[in-house]
Amino acid sequence: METTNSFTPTVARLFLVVYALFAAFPLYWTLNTALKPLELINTFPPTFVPSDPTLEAFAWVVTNSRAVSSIIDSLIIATGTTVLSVVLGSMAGYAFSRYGNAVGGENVSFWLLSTRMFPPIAIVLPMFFIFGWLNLQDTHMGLILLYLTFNLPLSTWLMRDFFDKIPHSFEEAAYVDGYSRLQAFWKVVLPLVRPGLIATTMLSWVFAWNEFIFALIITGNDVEPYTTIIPTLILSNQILWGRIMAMAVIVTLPPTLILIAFRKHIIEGMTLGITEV
Amino acid sequence: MSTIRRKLTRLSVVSDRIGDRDAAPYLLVGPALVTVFLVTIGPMLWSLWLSFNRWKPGSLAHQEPTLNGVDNYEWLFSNDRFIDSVVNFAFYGGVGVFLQVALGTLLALALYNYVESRTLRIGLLTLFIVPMMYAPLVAGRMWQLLFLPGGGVVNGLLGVVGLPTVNWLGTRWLGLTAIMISDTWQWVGLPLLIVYGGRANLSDSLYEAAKVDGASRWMMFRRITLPQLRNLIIVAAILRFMDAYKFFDKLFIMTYGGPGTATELPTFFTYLVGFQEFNVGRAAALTWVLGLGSVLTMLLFWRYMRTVEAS
Repeated sequence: METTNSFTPTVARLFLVVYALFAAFPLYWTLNTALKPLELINTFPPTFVPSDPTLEAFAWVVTNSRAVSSIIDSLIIATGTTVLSVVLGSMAGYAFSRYGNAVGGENVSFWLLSTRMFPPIAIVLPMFFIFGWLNLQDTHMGLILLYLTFNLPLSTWLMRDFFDKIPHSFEEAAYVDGYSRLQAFWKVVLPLVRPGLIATTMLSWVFAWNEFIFALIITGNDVEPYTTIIPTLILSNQILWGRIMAMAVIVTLPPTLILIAFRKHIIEGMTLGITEV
Repeated sequence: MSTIRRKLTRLSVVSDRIGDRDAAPYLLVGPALVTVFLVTIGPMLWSLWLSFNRWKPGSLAHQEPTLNGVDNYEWLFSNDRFIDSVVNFAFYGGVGVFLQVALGTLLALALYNYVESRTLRIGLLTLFIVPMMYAPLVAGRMWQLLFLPGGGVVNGLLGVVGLPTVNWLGTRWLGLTAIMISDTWQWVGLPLLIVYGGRANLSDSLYEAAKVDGASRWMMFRRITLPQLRNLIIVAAILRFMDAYKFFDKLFIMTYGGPGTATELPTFFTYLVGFQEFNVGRAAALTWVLGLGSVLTMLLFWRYMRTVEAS
């Protein structure tokens, strides 16, 4: 009995160790490749520890004007769309949470969430031509609006969920104390929902930051988010792995730091409010 | 007495404020709904109309949309490339989602049951979800490097173990498998988180009762854990499956649908028809067939999400 009992835990722990190596290796390889001199990237057997690490690739990213301006473009777009989606989403989320039945309740909020699930190609195909007429192609504003298609439903759904966790009695007590509805919202509800607000903000930002297909189709000349220049980092059929991976390290760092700093709330947001760890 | 009356009148003000005949809810929801209509629903209705038209904005012959009935849909369902992309989708979506959900579930349960140290548990959990923070496009580029036929690490490892090395991204099924592996690496965290959260919410008393009855670990897994987490696991699977309809970035960067058209998925095929051939009517028909599929999946999602939210 004792031996069979220790069998499962051992296998389970072994499985975790093996999977952890599998999960961690590409993270390590991103950094490793970024630090390698170009001639060592494709060699066989691979150099697992860079013998001659160089910051050349990183230096290229931070001095190349196209790379730098692409990161700035991504920053502008991700931040702009986040502000809009969190403001509009909080308003709608609050209404769905507090006046659910008056505004269609579960059905409407779910319908809103479901628009997020549409294939982006279905949205961007008509939008490409509409943006052509409105002169929004190749602009920050165009992508900021387009990213609302996935971020606004997400922030509405998440904020509804976060507001639901704050008992109505808090506002009712504030009303009894003579607060107006707006005051009650600003001074009582908003401070309580702040962690949820942060999670929604961070997630919206990360999704917009990492987006590719809309950016590929709508922008490309004046405005180039970083995802659109990664496929172009090629020199006569030779993929410039070092530069791409240096860029990958730089652009993956902000979302990763966000995850580590706000782990609890990011997890809740990532799973649409299902999981609280 | 008067204070009580004052409180009562205030209370009636409260009930008016949160009553139903009130403009505030609509003012709060309005901007979001209008925005979603303008950027999603409206354009898609226009594209529904386009799907019954012939429109090739680049060519001289079909600069304006002209009605052509269901020609686009007929073309679509008799098109081998589309059928092949649907077969690829079934393989990628079916096997890929199963792999991610099975792995995620096992990892979550192993993590919850057999890692005692809280720090280690949180550390591993974080490690498993860090890949989700990569841009899918960047993750695809990364994995393309690992799968390189010559100097790639994957073939290197196969060589060390004595297995034959293969040209991963050079054939249809291996290419799709390679993409599936990279996608699993990135997204296994989602089912993992959902199942982990669900397991943490199960009460210990169920397991204690089973232990008293002398149930084995396997029995407890089969009779308690799996049935209790069933709906959550289904929700996780549907969430991942819905992403299969959108799948684009990794395919674009790792194989570009190649070799030839072998690894195309419906979304990617739509992209080529719409933005390489500029055959907008046909692409619109494609998006509507795709969209209908995702709507059906969503209805399923809703059903299970309700049971999960209710519990």
